[in-house]
Amino acid sequence: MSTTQEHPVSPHKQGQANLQLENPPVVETSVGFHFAKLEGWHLLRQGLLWGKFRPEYPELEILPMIVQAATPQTFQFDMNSPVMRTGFTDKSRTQLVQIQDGLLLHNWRKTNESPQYKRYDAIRSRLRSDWATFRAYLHEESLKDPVVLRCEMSYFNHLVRNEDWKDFADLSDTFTVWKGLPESSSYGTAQVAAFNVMHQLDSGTVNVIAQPGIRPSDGKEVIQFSLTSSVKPKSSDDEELFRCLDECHENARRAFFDFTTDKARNRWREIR
Amino acid sequence: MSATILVNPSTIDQARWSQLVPFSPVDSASWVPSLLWRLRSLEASGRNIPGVGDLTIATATADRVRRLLTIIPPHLVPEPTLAPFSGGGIALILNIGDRELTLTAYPDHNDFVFMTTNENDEVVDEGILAADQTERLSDVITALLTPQAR
Repeated sequence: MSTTQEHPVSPHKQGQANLQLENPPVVETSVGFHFAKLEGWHLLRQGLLWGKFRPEYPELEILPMIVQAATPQTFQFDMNSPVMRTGFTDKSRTQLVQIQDGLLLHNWRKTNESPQYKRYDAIRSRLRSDWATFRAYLHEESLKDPVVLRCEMSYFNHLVRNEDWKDFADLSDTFTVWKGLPESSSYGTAQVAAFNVMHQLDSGTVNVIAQPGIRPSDGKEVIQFSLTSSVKPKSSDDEELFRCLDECHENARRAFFDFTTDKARNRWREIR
Repeated sequence: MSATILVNPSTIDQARWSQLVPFSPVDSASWVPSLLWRLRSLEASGRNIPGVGDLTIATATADRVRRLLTIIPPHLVPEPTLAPFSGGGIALILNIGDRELTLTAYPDHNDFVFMTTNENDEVVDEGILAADQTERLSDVITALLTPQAR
């Protein structure tokens, strides 16, 4: 059993209601910072950095490179200085630090062996430690402090067919923004349905996506409901970065509340 | 040396950049949603076809077929055929030209049977694979996609 208990930090249009979910649908969370490319960074330094993380994260995963190319639609790939994304993972393989020139993220992911959800406070604390390790290493190597461009938090939720929904006509039971068409309409039954909403806030963005797919681990049909919130910090001081991260968390938490129905949240409150 | 790479914005899924938990979206090929819909129909009401038998498949059997779909490169193969048979089993049939790969899932079995035939309907590969033998299955699919030397 896992519990999510999160309190809003500011008044919300639906009141001061708490999110207390005994069975949250979350399967992964990611928090961290995107920063400007570091002068003097290269793969060998990234490899040596693992030595600093290794006592806590002894396993290594090589991950596909993240391409920051939304705007503009091209990016430069320097073949003399290849970029690699690495994941330093703890023994349980649930906690992981993702590092690439330009980003540091901490992920928690659910596994069969370790299914208990880790709350934001716990993941934030891990990120603070990871970030301190990273910055200490930069100082040791006489490299400049990173200039953080945005703070980011993502939740990835899996809504499983036959548990959370039966067919796409049921989505209005889960999502406040989904109405669909009555089955009696000339369109018949929906084969598939998805939505992707980006909100521009005063300080950043929230991207909410419902995307149907298959979970390779068990072949279950799921709707992946992801919420990504990013905020641009005013400086790269730790205090400002973690304040912005808290804002990302609050924005994502609100979006979860606003995009899901009472009925769905009541279902996730039940002890299974 | 550097290269400028053009990125098609429609292929960018920014929200999933940081994701590590595997997920296979249904929009990977146009035929995937309709195939999944047919699987759901067979789970829900595949029964009682006169003269044929009960063609309902159990959810666990359908799950095994869906796992297969996450291994098959959907953009490289045409829409497979679903062939349920009496007793709760189902075959997924892929055709590339005159070559054919049949993957059969049986109820209450965690593995599946595969058979590849060539242009002359000769069996070129067959066997039983566990659901987690993804590398071996990938090899079987790659062999199907690779034209044979004459």
